[in-house]
Amino acid sequence: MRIKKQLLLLFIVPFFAFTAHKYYLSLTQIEFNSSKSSIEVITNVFIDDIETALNDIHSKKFELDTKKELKDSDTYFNEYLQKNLAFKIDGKSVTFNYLGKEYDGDVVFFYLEIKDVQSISTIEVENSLLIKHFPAQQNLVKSKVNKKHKSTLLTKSNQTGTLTY
Amino acid sequence: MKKISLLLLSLVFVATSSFAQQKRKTQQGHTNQNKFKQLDYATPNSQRTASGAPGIKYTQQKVDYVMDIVLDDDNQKITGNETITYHNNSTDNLSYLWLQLDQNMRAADSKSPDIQPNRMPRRMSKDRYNKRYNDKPFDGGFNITNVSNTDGSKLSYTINQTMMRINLPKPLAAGETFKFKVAWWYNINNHKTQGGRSGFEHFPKDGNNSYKIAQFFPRLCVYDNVEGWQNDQFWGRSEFALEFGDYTVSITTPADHMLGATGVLKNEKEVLTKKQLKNLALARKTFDKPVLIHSQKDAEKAEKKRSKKTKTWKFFAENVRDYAFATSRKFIWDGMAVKLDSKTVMAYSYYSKEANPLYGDHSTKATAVTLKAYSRQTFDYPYHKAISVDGQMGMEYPQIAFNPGRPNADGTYSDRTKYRMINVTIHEVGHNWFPMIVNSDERKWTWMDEGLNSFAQMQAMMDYEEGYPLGRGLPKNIVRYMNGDQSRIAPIMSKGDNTYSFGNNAYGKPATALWILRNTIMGPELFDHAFKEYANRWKFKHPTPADFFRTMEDASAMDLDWFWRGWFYTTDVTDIGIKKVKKFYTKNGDNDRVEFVEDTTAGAKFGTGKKANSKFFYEITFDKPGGLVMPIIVEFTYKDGTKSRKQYPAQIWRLNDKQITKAINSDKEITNITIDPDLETADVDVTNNSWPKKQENKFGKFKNKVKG
Repeated sequence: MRIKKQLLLLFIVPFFAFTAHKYYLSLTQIEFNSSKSSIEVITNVFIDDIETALNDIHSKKFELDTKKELKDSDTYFNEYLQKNLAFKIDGKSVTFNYLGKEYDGDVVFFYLEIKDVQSISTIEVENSLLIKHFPAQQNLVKSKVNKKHKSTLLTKSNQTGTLTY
Repeated sequence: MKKISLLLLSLVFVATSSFAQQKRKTQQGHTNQNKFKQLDYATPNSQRTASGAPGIKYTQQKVDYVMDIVLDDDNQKITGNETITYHNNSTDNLSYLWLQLDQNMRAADSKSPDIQPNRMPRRMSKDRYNKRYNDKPFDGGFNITNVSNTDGSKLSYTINQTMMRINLPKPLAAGETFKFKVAWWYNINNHKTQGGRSGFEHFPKDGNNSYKIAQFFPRLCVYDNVEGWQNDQFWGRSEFALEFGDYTVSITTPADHMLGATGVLKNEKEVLTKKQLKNLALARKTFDKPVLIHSQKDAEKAEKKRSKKTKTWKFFAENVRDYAFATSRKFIWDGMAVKLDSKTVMAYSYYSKEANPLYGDHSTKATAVTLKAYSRQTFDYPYHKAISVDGQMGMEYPQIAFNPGRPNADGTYSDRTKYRMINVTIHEVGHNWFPMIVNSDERKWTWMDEGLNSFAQMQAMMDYEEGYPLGRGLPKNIVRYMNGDQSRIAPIMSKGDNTYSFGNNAYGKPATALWILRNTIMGPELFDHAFKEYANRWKFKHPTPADFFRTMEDASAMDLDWFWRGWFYTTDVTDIGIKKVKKFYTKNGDNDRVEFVEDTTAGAKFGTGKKANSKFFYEITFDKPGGLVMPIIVEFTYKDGTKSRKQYPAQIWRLNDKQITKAINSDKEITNITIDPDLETADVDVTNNSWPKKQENKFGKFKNKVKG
C-alpha cells in the first residue's frame, strides 16, 4: 500500500512545482590515498530521501537525525549502501567498509573505505542509490586519483560508469 | 601613383616576410571580457528610470472583476460568471485583450503532458493503470459558455491553449475602459492524485472534500511596455503575471461549509453563527496566541452532516492581483491579531482535524511571524489579513496560501515535519509581498519572487524560534548544487520552464546570492536600505530584473554589476585558494635602506636569519580556479593563538582574474592562514583554502573522530 502511494506521487511530480521544488541528487566523492593504499569514499544524500527509502523497505519509522532515531540505523545504512553501491578497480570487484555517517543540515554523509589498493587505472562505479524510490534521482560521482579529476553522472537509465585515469 | 602603390606593396611584402621569419602573427584584438564590465540593461526611459525606479510616465493597466461563483460539492465542479472592467491606462490603443485560462493546462487535449518526455514504467498500481490507459482522460479545462458585451451581444474570441484573445469590436483607445462578461464552468481536479496548485482533497473516512480553489476564472494578462502582452503559455510550472484591480466576489457553497478567501467578508452576520462572531471579535483583540473561532468539535459536528441548503459568502478585495478561496465542512478556523508599526492585521488558519495539532500549534503563529518579519524588511502589510490553509501543497495567492504538512495519526509529529510545515507556511505567506504586491513577472523571471521570497523568509524563520534550522539560503548548502554537473545547471536568468533543478535555480541560488550580498558584500545596513527601497518603489507595480539590480546599486553606492553577472547570468562557481606564501624579514642595508630577505625555511616558521627587531612580512599569492569573482576573506592565526581577519573586496580581481599577490606585514608571527573560514562564499573546494595546507582531509578527520 505504501509503495502504491509513492508511485502515485511520483507520476505527478512533473506537474507539481511549488516551494519544495525537490531535486534528487546524491554525490559520491572518491579519493585515492596512495600513502595509505586506500580509496576514501564520501557519499552524501538527502536525509528525507534516504529515510523515505528505508522506511519503505523495512516498514519502520527511522526518524533520522531526531531524538527518536533508531539506534541501529547504521546497520541499515550499511546494508542499503552495500546493495546499491559497487566498485570495480581495474575490472576487479572490491568490497568497502562502512565507517559511519555524519548529518549536516538536510544531508547525510556516509564514509566508506576500500582497503589495500596499490594502484588504479580504472574505477567502475555502479550506483543505484534511491533510484527505485525516486526515478528522477541523479547520482553524481566525482573522483580524484593521482591528481586527476574524473566524474560521471549516473541516472536510472545509466547506473554504471567507468572512470579512467 | 603606380610607383607609390608598388612601393607600398613591396613594403608590405618585406614586412610580412620579416614577421614570418620571427614566427609572429599580427595581434588580434578582443572585446571587453572583463568580469567588472558594466552590464547592458534596456535603455532607461520615462517609464523605467536609470535609477531603477518607476518613471514619471509609468503606467499600469487596472482590471476590476465582479464575480458570482457556485461550488457544486456533489460533482466537484465550479461554475462562474464575471463582469470584467478593463482600464487601458497605457498610451497605446489595443485591438484585442488576452485572458489567461490556466485550467486548460488540465484539459483533455492539454499539451503540457506532451512536452514531458517519459519512459515505459516498470510497474504501476491497478488504479493508476486504469486511470491512465482505460478511463477517459480527466477533462479539467475551462468550458467557456459565454463571452459577451454587457448588453448581451456576443463578443468574438479565439482560444490558443491557455490563452484567450477577445477580439474587440473597435480598438480600445488609450485611457478608455472596456466592460465585458464571461461565463464558464470546469471540473475540479483532485490535487492529491492529479497534482496541481489548486483542486480538492477527498477524505474517504467521512466522505468530505476540502477545496482549494484558485486560477478558477478567466483573468487578464499583463500588458506593459516590456513584454507587450505577457501571454506566454502556462505549461504548469512558471507561474503568473497579473494586473491589480478590485474584486467583488460572491461564492455560493453548501450551507455547512467554512470558507476563507481573499478580501473583506462583507456579510459576516449572514454567514457566521453568533458563536463564531463572538470568537472572531475576541481573536481580533488577541495578540499573544490564536483564538479558535470554529473549533475542532464544531468542525467534527459539521463534517458528519450534509446540508442541502447553500449560503453565499460576499467579499470585496481592493487592489489585489488575483483571487482564491478554500472551503470545506471539515475546516477548523482560528485567528489572532498582529501588531505592525502602523496598523493591526489578522493572521488566520483553516485546517481539517487531520492537520491538527500541527496546524493548531504552528500555522497561525507562523503566519503572524511572517507578517512582522516581512513588514520589517519591506513595508507594513497593506492588506487586512493573511490566511494559511491546510492545503497539502505549497501555493500562494493574495491574502491566502495553501500549505503542506500533517501529523501522524496519533497526533505526534517529528521535528522534520514541523519545520517543513513552518518553512512552507512562512514561504507561502511571505509571497504576499513577492509577487502579490511587489508584482514581478513569474512567468518570465521566476527567481524575482521565489528568490527574493526565499531570502526574506530566512529572517522570519530566525524570528520564529531561537536556533531555528535554516537550510536553503545558507552559502554552504548551495555548494552541492553549484558544484554539480554543469550540463544540468542553468543561469538564474533563465525562464523557469527551461531550467534544471528548479528549486535550486529559482529559489536556493538567488536566495543564497542575496544572503551573501547582505552579509558578506554590502553589509546589512546598506543592503537593508536598498532592499527596502526596491520593495517600496515597486509595491503594486511591475518590476523587471534591471529595476531590482539598478535600485540595489543606486541606493547603496555600490557597483554590483560583477555580482549580478557572475551569480545571475552565469553558472560560474566560487573557488579561491592560497597558491603560495613567501616569508620575509628585514635587515639594514646600505645607504639607510631596509632590505627584505626571503626566509626559505619550510612551513610557517621563520629560520634563524630573522632578528628579533624585524617584523614579519608575507607575500601571499591567491589563485582563483573558480569563475566567480568574490571578496577574499582571510583569517590569520598568530603564534600566540589570537586571530585577525581581513576582507579584500572582489575588485581585487579586476586586472587579473586568475591570481593576485598581496604583501602584508605583521607584528606577530603567523602560523596559519585560512580563506573563508565561516563558509560565507559558497566556495566549492575548500582543500586549497589553508596555508600551510591541511594534511587531514574531510575523510581523515572523520576517521580520526570515529577512532577517538
